[in-house]
Amino acid sequence: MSTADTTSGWREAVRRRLADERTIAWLFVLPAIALLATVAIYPFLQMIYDSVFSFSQAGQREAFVGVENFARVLSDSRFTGAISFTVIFVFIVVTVEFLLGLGISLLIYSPYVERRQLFVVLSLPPMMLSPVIAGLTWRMLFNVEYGLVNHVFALNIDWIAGRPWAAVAIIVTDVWMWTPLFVLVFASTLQAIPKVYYEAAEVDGMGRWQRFKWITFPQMRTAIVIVLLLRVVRAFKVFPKIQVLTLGGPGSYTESIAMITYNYGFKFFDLGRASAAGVIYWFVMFVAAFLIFRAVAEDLITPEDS
Amino acid sequence: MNLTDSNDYAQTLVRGSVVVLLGLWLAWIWLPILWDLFTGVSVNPQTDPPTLIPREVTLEHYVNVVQEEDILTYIRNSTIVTTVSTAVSVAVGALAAYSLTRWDPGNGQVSFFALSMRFLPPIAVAIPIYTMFVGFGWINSWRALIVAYLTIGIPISTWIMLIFFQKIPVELEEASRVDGWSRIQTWRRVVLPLAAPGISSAAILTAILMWNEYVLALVLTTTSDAQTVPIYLAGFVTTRGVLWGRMGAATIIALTPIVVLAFVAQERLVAGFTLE
Repeated sequence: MSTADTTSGWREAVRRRLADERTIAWLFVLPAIALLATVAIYPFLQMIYDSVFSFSQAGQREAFVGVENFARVLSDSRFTGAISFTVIFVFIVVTVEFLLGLGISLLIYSPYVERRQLFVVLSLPPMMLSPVIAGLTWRMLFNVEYGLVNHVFALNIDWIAGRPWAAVAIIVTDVWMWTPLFVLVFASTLQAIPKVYYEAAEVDGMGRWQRFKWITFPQMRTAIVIVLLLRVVRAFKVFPKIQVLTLGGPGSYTESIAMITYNYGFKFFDLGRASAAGVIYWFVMFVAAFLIFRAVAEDLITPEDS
Repeated sequence: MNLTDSNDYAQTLVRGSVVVLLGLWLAWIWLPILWDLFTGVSVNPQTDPPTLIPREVTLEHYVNVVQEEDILTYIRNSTIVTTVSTAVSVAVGALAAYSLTRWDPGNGQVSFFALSMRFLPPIAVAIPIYTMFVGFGWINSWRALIVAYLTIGIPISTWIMLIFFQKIPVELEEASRVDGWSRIQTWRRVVLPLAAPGISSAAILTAILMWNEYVLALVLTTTSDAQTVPIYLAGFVTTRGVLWGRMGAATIIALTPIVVLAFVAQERLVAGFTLE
């Protein structure tokens, strides 16, 4: 009798709790938060902790060394070289992809083209491939003896092992892979601009350039900001593409931050230094994203005002 | 009369250059992929480079890739890891996204948290996860990758569904509740059908990301028992030495499902990628 009472009392409490939407709201987000906390946040904090210890080659934590790992990483010319290579790489590829993507999407949405969706879809494949596939594909094309690139342009350039050609090869591969994202995003933005705007502009006697400046560009601003942010963040992670194209060579000329961080941990078997490099890497990315975000925050909040 | 003539002429010129430029663009996109295809069917691409129209076609490299290099094992590993991890990510992400659009517990903090996950570089996730999984004895197993891939899958799928779900009007749900449907009935009959496009976009995009993933697989797997397709492919350069014919064949085998997907599910993909 009393057990039944407690049970039904307990059930009633649960039912009342579930009727409260706040409880359900938190119950729904809980699995996502719990899983991310276990597989991302906890390891991330662990890495920060590990970065102040020395490790044995076998991966055992040995002694507290303070900031020594950071000092060693930051004074390593291979690491600082990787930072500058990555920053320059990100700047060049994102700029080229943006301009090329804008140009192509404007061509697709010029009045002379029919079946626009088909053009967009035909442009997609490279961005859906694994960077490993993109890298291998271009490695064949850039081969010094039999590669299509040297053959077509009658060149004799060692794209994989020469300077600055190795860097050019990586940039070309990345541009091939990621310009389609800009085309896709810009094309779907252009598609959404109401025709009436252009009709009104025509009545007002606006020229082609004025129409772009006063209608097209302002309408695309939010999309531009978002896609730039995404690409910068993603380009900073560059690694597999380089791994299969040049292995970071010649020497360590094309090593990216991700690559040298990996090498610290799994080539030199020094998890302490790898952790310190990982912390610095994350910090560089965070600062870059933060700066862009702050520079464009206004656009994100009030995209309609311009 | 003259005026319209020169206008027509200019028009034709512009139209012509647009067509030429777009043709060049498509050639730039597709030639490298076609080159993989041609290399894979050439008899000996290393000494006798492929031509645009192959003189002699062979399937030898495809046979070798399947029989000697056992590409199917890697495909199996990739398929299992991608399927399970995508399913978990999308299920967990759908619940979170629904809650965030309807009630926003934590006032924007939770969605910001999900978004900020994307700033974590994969290698910075891989190093500590590696240490953790060595402790569990999980290195070189499917479950290591399945769990590790949640760090990619949950944030991206939550984010995509979040944007889709915002467009589902709350009024529809409220109306059906007023009509006397239970919350579960409402979800099944009203919310789910409306959410389906968002869920499938998220699933497709998450699956592609996982299928292509390299860094975590490189760190967490060591043999063909768990290695995925990208690791196998990278082996052409890093461990096995460059065998062009096989490389072309293997590349084509690996990219075909994705290219097919681009055409079959184009609408969902386009929607997903533009939100990514």
